[in-house]
Amino acid sequence: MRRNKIQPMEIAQAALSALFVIALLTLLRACGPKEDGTWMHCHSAWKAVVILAAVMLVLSAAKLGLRQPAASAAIDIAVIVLAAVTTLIPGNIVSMCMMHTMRCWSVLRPGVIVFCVLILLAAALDIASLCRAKKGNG
Amino acid sequence: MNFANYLARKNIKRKPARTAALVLLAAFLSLSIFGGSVIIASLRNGLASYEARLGADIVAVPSQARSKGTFESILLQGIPGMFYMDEQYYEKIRDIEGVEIAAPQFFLASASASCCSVSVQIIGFDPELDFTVQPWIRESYADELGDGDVIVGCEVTAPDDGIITFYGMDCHVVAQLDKTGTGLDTAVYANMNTIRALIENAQRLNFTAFDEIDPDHAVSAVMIKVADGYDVETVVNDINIHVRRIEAAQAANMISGISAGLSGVSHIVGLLTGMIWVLAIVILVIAFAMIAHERAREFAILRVMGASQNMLSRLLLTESALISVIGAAIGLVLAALVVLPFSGLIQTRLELPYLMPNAGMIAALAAGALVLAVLAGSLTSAVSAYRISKHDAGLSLREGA
Repeated sequence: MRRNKIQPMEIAQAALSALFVIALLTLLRACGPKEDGTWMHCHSAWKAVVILAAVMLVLSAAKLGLRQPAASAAIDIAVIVLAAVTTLIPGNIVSMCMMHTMRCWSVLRPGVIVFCVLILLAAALDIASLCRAKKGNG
Repeated sequence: MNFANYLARKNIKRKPARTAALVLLAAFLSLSIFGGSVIIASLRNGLASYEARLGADIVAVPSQARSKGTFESILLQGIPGMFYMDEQYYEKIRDIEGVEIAAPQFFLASASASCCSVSVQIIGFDPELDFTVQPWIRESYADELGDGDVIVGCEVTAPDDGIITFYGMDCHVVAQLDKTGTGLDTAVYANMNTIRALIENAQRLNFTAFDEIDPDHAVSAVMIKVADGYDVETVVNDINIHVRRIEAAQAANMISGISAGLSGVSHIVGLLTGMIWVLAIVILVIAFAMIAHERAREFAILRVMGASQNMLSRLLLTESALISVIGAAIGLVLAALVVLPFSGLIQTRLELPYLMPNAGMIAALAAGALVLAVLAGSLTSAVSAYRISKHDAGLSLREGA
């Protein structure tokens, strides 16, 4: 059965993804450049997270126009996987600065975790509502 | 499922905007109490940890280090500092009556760590005399700290190859210490031979900060244990009178200063939590009273159809309980998403010792906040529920007509 209107969780997912990208470019930036102008390790982590966040935003925005539940569910699953991988980027997959008191550890990493958890929850709840709707019609 | 529960769920779904607003208010209840209690518990843990890590009865540093607050900055905020006095002052302190042990420490700030533009605090200690650092190190590393070996605080990422370079000298990381919630978490510990080697290297590399320091005859601080039977304050006064250019302070005074700061923050957190609770509960009480008033006809019809007065009360209480449970759970999640991942940032901003409680304690605080928020939220409809049970159905229907 087609979804007739945009669901609240779809809007939440898109809004959170957009906020995530904005936050990464403003509040959640990693440490600044060194005195010699070169960048620290955490800059690579930040760039990787920005790219993944942008992909999540594109997927979440594309889902708003979709009416097929199967396609919506597939995008939700992709967003869940992306969000899970993104939480592992700073400090695990990509190394960051040595001192945990630096901005990359105290601001960027927790900010990434918070946003990814919220986006993941929104996607999971959307999948749950899709399943419930399918059961109701089934 | 009984009829009251069924109807309560239907009513909640029927008015999503109103339900969302009430859920948000209920979320504030659990968010404020859980977030506030985690912060206060972390501050208390941090203070206890700070007290344990100081270890000494008296701390003596050069006067300029005390007046500039450099020593406290190292302990509380982990801001690297260097200050020195000639070892003759250490010898004078050692000779003061009442001093049982005087353990020297040497503070060195590296130029920068291998990856970043921040310097690292390196603390050197004498293994034969030390009684403050080694008990703590023993918790993570049982062997003797050799020359060239270092132990890093928990906020320092130990490199994969175990080698960390300061002033061009490779040091071998042998252990990482447990978190203390103080500025010492960003420090690196070494024995005095390693410190001397680092300074010699720094001098060879023309770091001018060390030109006037003789690493073989300089100390930064002296940690003092007072002998049994001697009054700590008397020994402090003796040191300050007889050893010039040195300032000795009781460790207890340093702790009481921080304790005062902690009390201040705790009071502010408590006040904010109280204000949020009063506001949220007042609004919830008014909201449920308005809901009950606007649904008077609906309740009257239910009474006419055979619903008992108790059932109507149960209906309203069930709605408020459901809203409170959902709101409290959301509030807990939101509070957890702020205070848990951002604990490092909170510690940096507060500039106080800050050590998160263990997982069990956090779970207990969460459970307590959930129960309190659900109880408080549920009881906000109690007055309205009682009124409904006493209201005359016929009167409501006539008024509606």
